[in-house]
This record gives sequence, C-alpha cells and structure tokens, in this order.
Amino acid sequence: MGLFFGTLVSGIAVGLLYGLLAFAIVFLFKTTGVANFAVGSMSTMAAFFVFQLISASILPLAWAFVLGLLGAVALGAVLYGLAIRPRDDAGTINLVIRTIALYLLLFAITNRFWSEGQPFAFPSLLPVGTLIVGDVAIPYHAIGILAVAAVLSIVLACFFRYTSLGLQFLAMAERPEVARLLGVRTRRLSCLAWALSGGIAAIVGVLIAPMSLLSSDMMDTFLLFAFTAAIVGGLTSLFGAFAGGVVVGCLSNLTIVYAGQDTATVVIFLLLVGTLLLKPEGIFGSPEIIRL
Amino acid sequence: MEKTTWMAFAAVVKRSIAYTIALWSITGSVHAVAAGANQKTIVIGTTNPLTGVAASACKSVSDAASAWFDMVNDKGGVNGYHIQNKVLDDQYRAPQALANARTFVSENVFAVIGGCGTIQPPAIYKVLERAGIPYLFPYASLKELIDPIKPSTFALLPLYGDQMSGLLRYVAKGEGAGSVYGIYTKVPNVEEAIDENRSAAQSAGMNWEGHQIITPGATDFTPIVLRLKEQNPDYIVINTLEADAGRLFIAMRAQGWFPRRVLGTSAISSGSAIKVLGKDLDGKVLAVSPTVPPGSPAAQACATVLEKGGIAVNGFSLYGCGIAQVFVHALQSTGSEPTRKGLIQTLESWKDEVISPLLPPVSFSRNDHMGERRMFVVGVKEGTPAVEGTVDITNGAVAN
Repeated sequence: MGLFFGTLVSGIAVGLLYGLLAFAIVFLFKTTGVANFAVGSMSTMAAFFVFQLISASILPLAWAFVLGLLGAVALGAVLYGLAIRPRDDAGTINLVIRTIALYLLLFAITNRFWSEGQPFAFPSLLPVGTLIVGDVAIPYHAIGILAVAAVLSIVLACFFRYTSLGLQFLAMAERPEVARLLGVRTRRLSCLAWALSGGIAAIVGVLIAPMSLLSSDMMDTFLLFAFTAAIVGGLTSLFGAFAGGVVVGCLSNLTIVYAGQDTATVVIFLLLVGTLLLKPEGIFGSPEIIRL
Repeated sequence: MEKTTWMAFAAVVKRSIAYTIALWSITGSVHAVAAGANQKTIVIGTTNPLTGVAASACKSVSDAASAWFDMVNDKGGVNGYHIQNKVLDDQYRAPQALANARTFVSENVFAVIGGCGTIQPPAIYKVLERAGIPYLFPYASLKELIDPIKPSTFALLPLYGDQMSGLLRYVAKGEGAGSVYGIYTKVPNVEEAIDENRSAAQSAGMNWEGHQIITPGATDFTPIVLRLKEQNPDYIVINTLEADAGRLFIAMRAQGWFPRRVLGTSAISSGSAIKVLGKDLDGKVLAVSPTVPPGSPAAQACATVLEKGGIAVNGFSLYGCGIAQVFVHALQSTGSEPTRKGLIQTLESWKDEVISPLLPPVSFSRNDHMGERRMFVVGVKEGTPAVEGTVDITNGAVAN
C-alpha cells in the first residue's frame, strides 16, 4: 500500500504543477479566447532570469524570485503588446499561431544566451527533506507545491469574486462584446491577463526547476501535460484546470509505476482524445451554446 | 619559309608540353604525399553542434580541441607544422554533418577529428573513408564506427554497453555481488547494451532483477524511484542522459532512498549530474570516464588552457582537449613529413601509449580501432567527482 499511496501523493504534487500551468492557459483562454502555447517558454525564461541573478550573486534566492516574478509579469505584458495586440482582430487561428511562434522565439533566445553548460542545479524556495507518514515518504517540496497551489487558488478566487477588476475579467471571459459595450476596456484587461499569466508561469518555473534541473527545454513535456489537464478539466473552468492537472498527474504516475512509462504516455493521450470525443467541454467546463 | 616557321612552332609546343608535364608531376607528388598539409599548416576539420539543442553540451568539445591546438601553435606547432582546425556547425543534424563532411573532402583536409553526437558519425564516416580521410575520435558511443574495422576511422570512447559491463565486473570484484536493476534511455542499440550488461552482471555473480527504458525528459522521476525503492536492488545501472541522471538523484533524495551504489557511464561522469546533490552523493555513485574528472590535478594542463579561452571545464571540454592531445602526439610521432597513411600507421602501432595524465593509456592495432580499453572510475568525494581507480573494461580488472 505504501507504493500506491506514495505514488498518489507524487501524482497530486506533479498534477498541481500541471494544474498551475493549465490555469495560466485557461485563464488566458477565458479572458482573451487565445490558447497560449508560449506559456512554457515564458516559464523557462523566468526561471533562467532568476538563476542568472542568483549565479551572479546579485541577489539572494527570495529577492531574485521576486524580481523574476516582476520580470515575468512585464514580459507577459510586452509579449501581448508586441505580438498579440497588433491586428488582434485577425482571428483565433492567427493568434494561436502567433503564440506558437512566440514559444519558438523565446526558446531560441533562452537556448542562445543562457543554455551553455545546462542543465543547471536550481536552488529550491521550498525546504528540502522528507516527511515520513507510515510507510509513505512525502517530500517537503510536494507539500510546498500543494500549499502554493492552494494559496494561489484562494487569492485568485477572491480576486475574481470580490474585486471590480476580477469581475471585469469574468465579464470579458463570458461576453467580450457585451463587456466592451458596457465600457470594459477589454484590450487593457487582455494585457493584464497576459501579465498575470506570465506571473503564474514564473511561479511554476521556479517550482519545477529544482526537481527537473534548469534547461531550455525543461517545460516541453510539462506543457503537453498541462494542455491535457486544461482540456480534461475544461478550457472554460478555472477550477477545472487544477482538477484536470491532478487527474493527469495521478493517472500518469500510477501507470508509470504499475505499467511503465511508455504505457503512461499512451494512457494520458488516450484520455485527451477520449475527452475531446466524449466530453469536449471537459469535466468541469460548460458546453458552448450558440444562438442562431 | 613556312615549313621552318611551322617546325619552330611545333618545337615550342613540344617544349611547353614537356615543361607542363614535369611541373604537374612535381606538384602532384607533393600533393599526394601530404594531402591537407602544405609546407606550414596542417588543415583538419571538425563537424560539431555549435547551435541547436545539443550545442549546450557539445560545443565545448570542439572549442576545447581548438584551444589546445592554438596553445600548441603558439609554442611552434608540431614538427614545424601549425594545426588549423576548421570547425563547421552541424546543428546535431545528420544531413548537415554530411554536407560538412563533403566540404572537408572537397577541401582535401588532412583529417576530421572529434565532433559530438551519435547521429552524425554514421552519416559521414563513409564519405570520409571513400576519400581516405582519417576520421578520429568523435564523442559518440557507436558500434558501427569500429565493427567492422574501417581503415581510416578510429574511436576513443568505448561503447556505453562495454563501459557498464566493465564497471559491473569491477564493482562485483571490489564491493561484492548483489542485485542489479538497470535504467536506460531509449537510444539506438539500447537492447544490445541491456543484454551485454545483464550478461556481465550474471557472469560476475550478480542477480539481474530487471530493467526499465525511459524516454528522455520525463516530468517526474518519483514513480520510477518508488518502484526501485520497492524492489530495493543493491546496485542501479543508469545509462541515461546526464540531465535525467540528475533528476533521478533528486527524486531519490526526495524519497530518502539510495541503493548501495548507482553505477553510470561516461554520460554522467562529467560532473553536472553529480553537482546537483553534491555531498549527498558521497560514496553513492560510481561512473566510468574517458578522462580524469574536472578538478583533478591531472587535468590541470587542459584546465589552464580552457580557462584562458573562457571555456567551462567539464567532461565534454576535457574530452575535446584529450583528443587534441592524442592527435598532436600522433602527429609528432608520424614525423616531419606527415601523411594520412603515416598517421594511421602511427596510431595502429600504439600499445598502452601514454599521451598525458588526462587520459588512460591508449592502444590501437590493425584489428582494433577502439583506443580506450581502460577508463577511469570516478566516485564522489566531498560533493565533487574524484578518481577512485582505473578499470580494464574488457574484464573489470583494476588496471593500476
């Protein structure tokens, strides 16, 4: 039983990381209608930026992280301004392809300037060590991820529910045309959404790097699983992103333990295809109703 | 009058043809004797990933070799010859490597040396063999390079399967037999490597408990470690990418479990994977390495040259420096009028040739173009890689 529960705990921990990244994707999708394929590269770039500050002994880890977070927020806004805002009426496919181009561009920049000698050991913001409960070893890092995910979800839930800006975001997510007519400045909110998405990506990057080692391609597989989590949970449900992440994390890890890594990959992508075929809105998403 | 003019003209033509033939034969013979070498420079080529995903690890192989050659040139060269190393980027792509090889053939370089990666050598050695250009010491573990023997192709890095088999025998003799579990990255010929390791473990009296093949870049190594922890083998053999080895160590520490020893190939001996956990790995890891590890006093000469050139000192750059030393040593021994044939004969004459403290003794023969049959055994002390001995990978015997 120790093996089963230990795997479940690790699945929840890694699933919450998928969920956090999925949240950044779903949040942006809900507010702007764009699925952001560059979120993984934004995450990596933020982690590298923090690493450069630490390596040059400019700042201790905590302050380097704060600066990295602010940098990622700024990066999100800049990317929106330069790559998404111009001709933002060009259609969804055009905008999605721009995010793919951004992913490639950010990856190339990170690889060109910062990757020599990678992978790098990245210090953890969370304590190192293990809590033993019965015959299950729970790393403190996993507990920390759970805590960060919980705090972030509560903060964002309160933000959306109890602040004027949050309500405007929700309005824009539901009815962007109506929101615009009612005076909501949708483009400004889109910029803020990209900025917020960048910040969340930075948090994910700094949580993942200590366990995955920092490298220019460290987020590639995470991004695939995060998109799966977003689809499974529902692209229109913020809570669904976390739930989808946990489902993907647990299913993946349990399959690896009992059937092998290759089987786990097959299972996860069967889950993705199955969701798209049988419940395309996801577990917690709402079906789209179009009035004719 | 016309007949006289015509005879004079014919005489001039005959003399011109004679002079041309004479001149041709002189330059042609010089060209044939010292292809790729003029009176002052030996031009060699390297095809290596300078950009792209593999560049972060591989670029330092060619940078280091070039830095060593520059140092040798500054001291007057080899037998009066300066070495010019022309490095072309192959971006870790076989078609680009092939194009580079064709460029080297058209430019008639003296030899092609080094490079890093397993997918490029199969694409280029045939072109170089056809042109009679020696292809020397790529950083690649590839059976095809040395089996069957190619007249002009020489390898220095033993096959990963052989490395691990040698280490298993070494550990069984030195630390006792036990149970072994293998973790392998999915690469060409991995099944063959697994079979070799299993045979080596069993012939050394060890109990082979199984293996797992992983895809590079997994997001979470915890489930793999949990399974290992459940099985609790004495030894784990890892034949993976360095980054995956590091992730495995992190997951092991997070689960509070290590086997008696983790055994690794040269892929993890360079230090990056070991640096991840530092002192937490003391006494827990053993790997084989084609050179002494970074930080070793025996690597000081290379380290000085690399640091002067702003090149990071790691396993890859030390390998690059090492192959440059081998090439220079071979050139020196070949004599004052180096030829490709002479170089090959020199290499094939080596038996336990001592090149430098950076490398174990190197041996080649007409029937064996794999240079290192001994490798350094590298452990972890105080969080840094340290040489614990030398192993003959053919039988696991302690070599010194």
